[in-house]
Amino acid sequence: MRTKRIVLAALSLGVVMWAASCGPSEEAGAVKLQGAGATFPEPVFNQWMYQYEQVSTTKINYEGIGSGGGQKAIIDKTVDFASSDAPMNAPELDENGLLQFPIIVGGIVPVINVPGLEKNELKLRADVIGRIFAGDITTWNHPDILSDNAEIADKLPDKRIIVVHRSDGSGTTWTFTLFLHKASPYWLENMRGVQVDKATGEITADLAESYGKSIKWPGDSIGQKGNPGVANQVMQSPFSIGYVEYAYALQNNMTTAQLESAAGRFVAPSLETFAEAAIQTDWTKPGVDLVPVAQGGDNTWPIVGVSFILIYKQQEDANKAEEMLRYFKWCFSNGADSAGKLHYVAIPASVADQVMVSWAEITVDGQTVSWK
Amino acid sequence: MGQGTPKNRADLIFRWLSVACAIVVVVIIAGIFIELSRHSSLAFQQFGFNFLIDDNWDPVSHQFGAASSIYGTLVSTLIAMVIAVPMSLVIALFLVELAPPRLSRIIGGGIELLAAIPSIIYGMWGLFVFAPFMRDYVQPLLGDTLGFLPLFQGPPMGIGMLTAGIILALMILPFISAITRDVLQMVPKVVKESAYGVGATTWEVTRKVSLRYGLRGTIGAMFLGLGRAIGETMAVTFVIGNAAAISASLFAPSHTIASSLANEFAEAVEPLYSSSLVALGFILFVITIIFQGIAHLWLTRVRKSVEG
Repeated sequence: MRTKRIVLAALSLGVVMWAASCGPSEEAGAVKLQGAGATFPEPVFNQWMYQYEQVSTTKINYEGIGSGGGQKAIIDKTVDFASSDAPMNAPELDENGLLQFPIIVGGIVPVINVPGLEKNELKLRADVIGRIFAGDITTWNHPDILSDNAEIADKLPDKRIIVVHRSDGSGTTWTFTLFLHKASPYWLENMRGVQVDKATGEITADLAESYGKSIKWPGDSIGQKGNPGVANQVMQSPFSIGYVEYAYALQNNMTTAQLESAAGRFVAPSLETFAEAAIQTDWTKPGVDLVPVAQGGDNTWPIVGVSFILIYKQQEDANKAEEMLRYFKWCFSNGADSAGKLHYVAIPASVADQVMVSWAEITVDGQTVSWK
Repeated sequence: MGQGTPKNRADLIFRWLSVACAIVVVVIIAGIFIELSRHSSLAFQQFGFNFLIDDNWDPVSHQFGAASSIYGTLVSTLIAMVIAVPMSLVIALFLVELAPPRLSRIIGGGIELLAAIPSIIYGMWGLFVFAPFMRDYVQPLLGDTLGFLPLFQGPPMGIGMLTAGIILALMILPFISAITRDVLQMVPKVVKESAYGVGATTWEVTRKVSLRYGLRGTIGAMFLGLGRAIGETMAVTFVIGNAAAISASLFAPSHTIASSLANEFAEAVEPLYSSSLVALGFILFVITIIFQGIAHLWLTRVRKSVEG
């Protein structure tokens, strides 16, 4: 009697497991892609993925865990593709066998919460915003802020500026600090990574870089996770300032500020000023140098970032590789409209064509993938 | 001869099964310890003992020091314990000694419900509701009345060490009170009634009879709460402000070992960076072991003093 029960239990378990294994994976063509990385392009990625699912059986899932998280995930091979705003340099790409290409351009804007200030009323010079984030300028009515904003001086009270930054490894931070590195002398001077000998206090190494996905922020600034975390914190805290990708400021109707372009004029953030920066970009330059921060031009927004996609050159599943490249081709050719609605700038068609030519390097068992 | 009676065989199987499970626990702990030491060895080799006392956490220049995380962990836990332990003791005593049975059951059920709330809900509630409340009412009040102390200086931001400590206190309060209440309920009624019989007041019975009987269980509950507070991640990450700095003020943002790991581990690609983060985890592991040891010693001493 007992043996009979055991045999029955084992049989039913077997049936259940067999039924479960004959699941959706057996359906032809329903490929599932997993991506992860920057929250910077996440709003436009979500739009694209939603629209693509209407025209294809491929299902794509994307997790916004930060540029650093994306890079780590692709190196650990836990995802099919990763997205990062901070490009990997050539030696790292070669070492890991990765292909990197730009997918979308977007603007990063300072967001402020000063009761009474309207959108784009406040004007900030590059060095002033650098000094605010470095902790040198601590009140809203500091003379250097007032000197550019005399007409709204009565709206700038003697209140402490609460600085909000990203607590997680972020490509948005990377692009923002790259801008400060290039455009704010105070920031470059004081936030440079230096190694100090503990015993003598001497500087043993000057790393000359004051930008990164994670940096050492002043001790009294607040860190929150992700673009949404920073946006939420600024919205909740009066007299605070933070930096977010423009889509977040737009969707939450946040107060942004004007920034000084490299040409010395104050510019408001908008699709036009982001597009100006994209036009100024030299797409032939590698990685870091192609990111269009602090570009010249009268009407150029100075903090514009590029999101890159990282995929392996040697793919294991031909079906998946094909579907992945088809999706990215769709993004290049069909994604510009929805990107524009969210105020992202699409990659120029000529650059997209060159990217698709480089996809010849993607192989499965030595054969190039046929995605056309 | 070959099979033995079913009763003996069941005993044998049960014994081997329980030994195996116990060994699995030991193996897991040893495995965690070994993995932590392996992956953190790079950081400890690079920085040496300085890692424990250096408060500089700089991913750009690759200088890492655990002091600010350790400080944040210990201070936020201390705040939580200072608030939660007296309150939960009083709540448990109220539920057992003073409340009418029906009220005691209702409130007791409410406390158990609080203990079941996921920590991320506490974090979200803390961020959206409690932090603005702290910023608008509590912190200005503390700053005005006690502002001469360096503990309460600085701008009220809502987010910071004090808020994190209070949220932690709210999280461990249900744990400690539920367990303390159960412990106090186990005091034999006969002993309490005899004490009342010789004329002791409620407070005397509570102090000299119930608490003495339940002391070991109460201390055990405290250490359980302590263990939860030390390792709590998501609730703390939302409200502590994630700043790698040591500050005398409780209004300032800080970070704990758990919150640093939650924020930075997914993205730390460079070997020294990820090794430093694992080293933080190793330090937390060691801190927990130290507290376990203290709990054990204390309980042994208490048992000796109570049992005479």
